[in-house]
Amino acid sequence: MPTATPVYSSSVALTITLASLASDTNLVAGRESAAVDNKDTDDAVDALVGGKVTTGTSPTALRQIEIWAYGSYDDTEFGGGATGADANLTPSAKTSMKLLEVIPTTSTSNQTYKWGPYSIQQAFGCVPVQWGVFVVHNTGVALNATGSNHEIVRFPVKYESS
Amino acid sequence: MSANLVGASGNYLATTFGAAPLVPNYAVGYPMSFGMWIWLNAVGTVARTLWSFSDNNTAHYLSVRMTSAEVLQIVARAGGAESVATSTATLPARQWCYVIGRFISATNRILHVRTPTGLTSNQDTVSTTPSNLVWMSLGVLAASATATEPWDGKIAEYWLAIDDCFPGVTTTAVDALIMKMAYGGPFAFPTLGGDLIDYRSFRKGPGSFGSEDRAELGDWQKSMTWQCINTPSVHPSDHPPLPYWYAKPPKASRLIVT
Repeated sequence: MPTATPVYSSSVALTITLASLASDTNLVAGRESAAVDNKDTDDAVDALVGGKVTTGTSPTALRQIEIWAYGSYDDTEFGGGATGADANLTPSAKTSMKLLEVIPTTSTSNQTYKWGPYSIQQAFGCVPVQWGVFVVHNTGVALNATGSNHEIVRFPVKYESS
Repeated sequence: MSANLVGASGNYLATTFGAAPLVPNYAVGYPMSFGMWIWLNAVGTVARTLWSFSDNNTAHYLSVRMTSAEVLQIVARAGGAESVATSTATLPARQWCYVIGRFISATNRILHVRTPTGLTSNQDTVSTTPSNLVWMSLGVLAASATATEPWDGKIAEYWLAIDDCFPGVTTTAVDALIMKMAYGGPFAFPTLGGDLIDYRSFRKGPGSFGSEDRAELGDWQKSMTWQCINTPSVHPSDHPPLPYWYAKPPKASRLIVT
């Protein structure tokens, strides 16, 4: 009798430029990742997403970095006014996205914060046909300028029959 | 949903424990702690109260209130004499903030206020022992059978414990601890679970407090005789954004077959 077992595909990086991302006191203006095409590329029943973010020089103490997930309802438009591109974004309504994590930060310069993994399926109740990540912070200074000090990756989860 | 309290309407949420306290020493209010998400609609030169536990008179109460300068205070009043610790943070308007009030002992009361731009922790060590505390309220100072200082804004994810939620933690609170409570919830702290006697997410609405979270509370809930009063109607509003892993009340048993 065939048995379906979950399989974790190889990790895949999301395309997002977090280096030098400006701080926003109001925690609104941030950066969205390019959208992940689950319908035509991943075909996953879940995606585990996580990553790392590095603060800049002399950040203000007791601030935060927020990690949100956005999704598409029709394979074209995205919740919260996201565009699906790796770009700066001021969401039309951040609460239309799904909060994944709020990272409390300190005044330590160039501090790397690793977060996740979080389930896109549990965040949305499904895996949207397209989805991405939105990052915003109010640490008082721009994030670290080195690209390799930031990353967001996903592990698509599928089932295989054996 | 959250509970939207409109200051101009003077609406609030209240309960009374009745003539006899539910647990020993409850009538003095120590030890006790609570937490909740709060939203202030607008700044203004008006004092407002978030939470109070009073003798239904003006002589004795514990409370957390906001001054006319938008700073929160943790208050203890006994025999007409009041002692206060004031937060060093100004509460912003139209942003969700998290508040924890810790009434640890007669000589130790700590207030934590986490806004999007920082955490403040302030302590009051003046010996103050109120008595005959029976009337608890959200969004107003309920004393002497009248309600004053109404909150104008929203509250959500309210919990109450009959012990200190962070034993041993001083005013040098670790931000990550406060944030875990705010974004993980009281049920993310297993050691706190046994001390929780009330939890109201306001996720389903503020109207029927007698049953609003009962389906969520399940078997963990303590046996209580709370009576909730909602006058005039408190309206539902948007809930603070929380991650999917925010811990909800555990169910000791789950019906699987009927």
